[in-house]
Amino acid sequence: MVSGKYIYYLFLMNALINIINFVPRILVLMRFHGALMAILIGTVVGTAILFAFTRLMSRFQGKGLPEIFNRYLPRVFSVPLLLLYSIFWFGAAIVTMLSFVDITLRFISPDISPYAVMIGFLLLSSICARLSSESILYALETILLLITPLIVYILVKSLTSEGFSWDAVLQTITYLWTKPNYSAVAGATFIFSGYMNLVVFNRNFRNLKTRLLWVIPVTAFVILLVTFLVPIGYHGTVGVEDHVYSWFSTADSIRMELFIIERVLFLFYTTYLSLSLFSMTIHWHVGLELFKGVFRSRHEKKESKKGDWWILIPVCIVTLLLMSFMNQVRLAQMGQWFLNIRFANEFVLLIALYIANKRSARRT
Amino acid sequence: MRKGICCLIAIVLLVTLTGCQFKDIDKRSFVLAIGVDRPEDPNQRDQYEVTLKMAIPEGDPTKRSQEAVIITEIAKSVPEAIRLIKSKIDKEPDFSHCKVMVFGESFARDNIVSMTDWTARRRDIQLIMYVAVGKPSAKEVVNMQTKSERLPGNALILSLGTEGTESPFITTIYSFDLHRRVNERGMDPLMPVVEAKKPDMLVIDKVALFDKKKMVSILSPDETRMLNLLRTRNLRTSFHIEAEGQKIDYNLESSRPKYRIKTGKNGKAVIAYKLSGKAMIETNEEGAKMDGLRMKEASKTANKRWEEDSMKLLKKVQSLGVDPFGWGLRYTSRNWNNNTELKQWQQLYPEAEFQVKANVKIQYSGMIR
Repeated sequence: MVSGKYIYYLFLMNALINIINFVPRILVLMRFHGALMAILIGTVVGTAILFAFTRLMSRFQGKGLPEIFNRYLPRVFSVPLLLLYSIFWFGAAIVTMLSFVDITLRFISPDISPYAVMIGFLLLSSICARLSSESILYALETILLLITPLIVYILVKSLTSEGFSWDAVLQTITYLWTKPNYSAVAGATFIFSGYMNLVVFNRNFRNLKTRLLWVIPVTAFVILLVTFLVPIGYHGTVGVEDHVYSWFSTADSIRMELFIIERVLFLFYTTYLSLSLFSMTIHWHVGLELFKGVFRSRHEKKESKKGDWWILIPVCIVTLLLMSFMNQVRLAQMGQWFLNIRFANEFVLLIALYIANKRSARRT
Repeated sequence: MRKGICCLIAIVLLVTLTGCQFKDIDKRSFVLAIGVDRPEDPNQRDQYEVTLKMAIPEGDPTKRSQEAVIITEIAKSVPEAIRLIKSKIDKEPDFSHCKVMVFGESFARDNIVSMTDWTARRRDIQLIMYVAVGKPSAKEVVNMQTKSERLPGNALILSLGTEGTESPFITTIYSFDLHRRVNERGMDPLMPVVEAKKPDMLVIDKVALFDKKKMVSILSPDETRMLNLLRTRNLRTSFHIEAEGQKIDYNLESSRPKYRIKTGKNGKAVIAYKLSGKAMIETNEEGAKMDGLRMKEASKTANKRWEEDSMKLLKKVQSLGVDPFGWGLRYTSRNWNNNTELKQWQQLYPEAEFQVKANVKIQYSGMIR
């Protein structure tokens, strides 16, 4: 059992990871077409989902999604839903993995085979994903404690550097009153979806009562603004669109005059490598647990780890196959689909939980 | 057992993740500066003349025998020229430490966009590389071996940045900034000008102004200093003022430019600058004691000089039709009519008026009165 503060860590994980690839991309593309409004709407909607979700989950104390669905929903619904969500979580990990392999090849070592990098990532996350939920949460705390100061340093450095143009930022803000589209809002809400990992980690929480839950929307809003506006401050309102990985280019535009290395890029890369590897591990773990839940009967409670590799190895093979067919454009598309589907999916999950909650109330 | 095997595989894979792309450091030559020119031969005017200044890694850093390898090649495009250079040297050129890019004057007067695209697109070239215009050509600037240079290319790197000499005549521009200015609406590129003075000197005291694509003008050293004063905070410089009974040099301790774009009475845009600063006296040629009253007088004269000089500069920039300060961006960022604001500014800018209010306070007389 762990204390309530780990909810914040789960949230922070996603909040920090969101600047890597797809979220800044969609927001930057939509910068003249309502990205800022999408951030505002996204914060409101995301907060609403967050509160509803934690509220519902707290009714099922110490239970994960597989237990809840298997117990309170008819088998016809619970099996496909669990299967769907497990695929979804694996998908989330795969998308992060693919983009980080791409980034590694581009910025660190272009001559290495992408498969070697990918197999390394897969091995690490697969092995770590088999740990117990509790130890993963503890590791999460450690890694965030180590990394958050570095990220704060990079952020402060980026905002105080002379190359940062506030005029470009303000120019983007004048496009506030434009109607956003669905994709932009879906992208903006991604930052909130860290708590969704509660579907499995709820097993380890004694109670989900958190006093400072309002901190999350505030932080999320600030991080979203930073995600979106800092690249614009560095690459201009027009030029920012040229950069494929806008945040990596931004990190490369910041200089540490008095450090062993000048380029912030490498600091940024290593911090984000460890963060994203960890996020993959978490997603892998959640996906695995959900998948195992499909085959669990109603009352069985014992945890077993026997079949883990029979699930993980096929998923790894699927990942490698997917990679062989990826290129820059397809990856961007896939990331966008992932964001779009994810947003709709959150509502489905809420509805399913609500029904389960109703049925459980009737039973008692 | 199984765990052990997994760990082993992970460790073995880690070995393949080492950097340096499988080429050892002694098999590489590090490019520290690139120069791009248009060839002098009139038949090849649309081609690129690329000069690379490369350093060869040496084992003993205390030995000061580091000589640069400089290779020039002409080809239809920059990548093509670099491939040709590769076959002229036994070591693989590595661009990840390239710190300076020099555009030859002939090249800058033509079109720089192809190069800003190339530098931003290549994954291994830093975005915090310094850019400059080379006079008379980039080749000569890159070739120049100054006496003070201890490491290849270091003279250029130190003088263009602020780690080494800090001159008020040097404008530091990074490559990401150049790329941004080439694309941005309402902001135009500018670059410092590096002149190669024979036999062994690099002079950087001018700045080149660009419209989106090509160089339109080079400012004089005094104008360059004024431009830097108007662009950056805390410029380290001194100014000379002369007035009745005064012949004073003062040293600027802090400075701060601020501006607003207002609408004037007749619908014209008014760009109103406020320059403030604190200064101390460096020389006092007339020899009269510097008391509070005299310092106040000196401040007044200094203010007048700043106002006159900056006014001249601002009008010159306006008459060139370029916007190195980003006034257009400022105007559009303060207006919410997104569809029309840019057109409005383009109409307003040629007619815009300037106001400069200088407020430099000479507060200290130095160690003596």
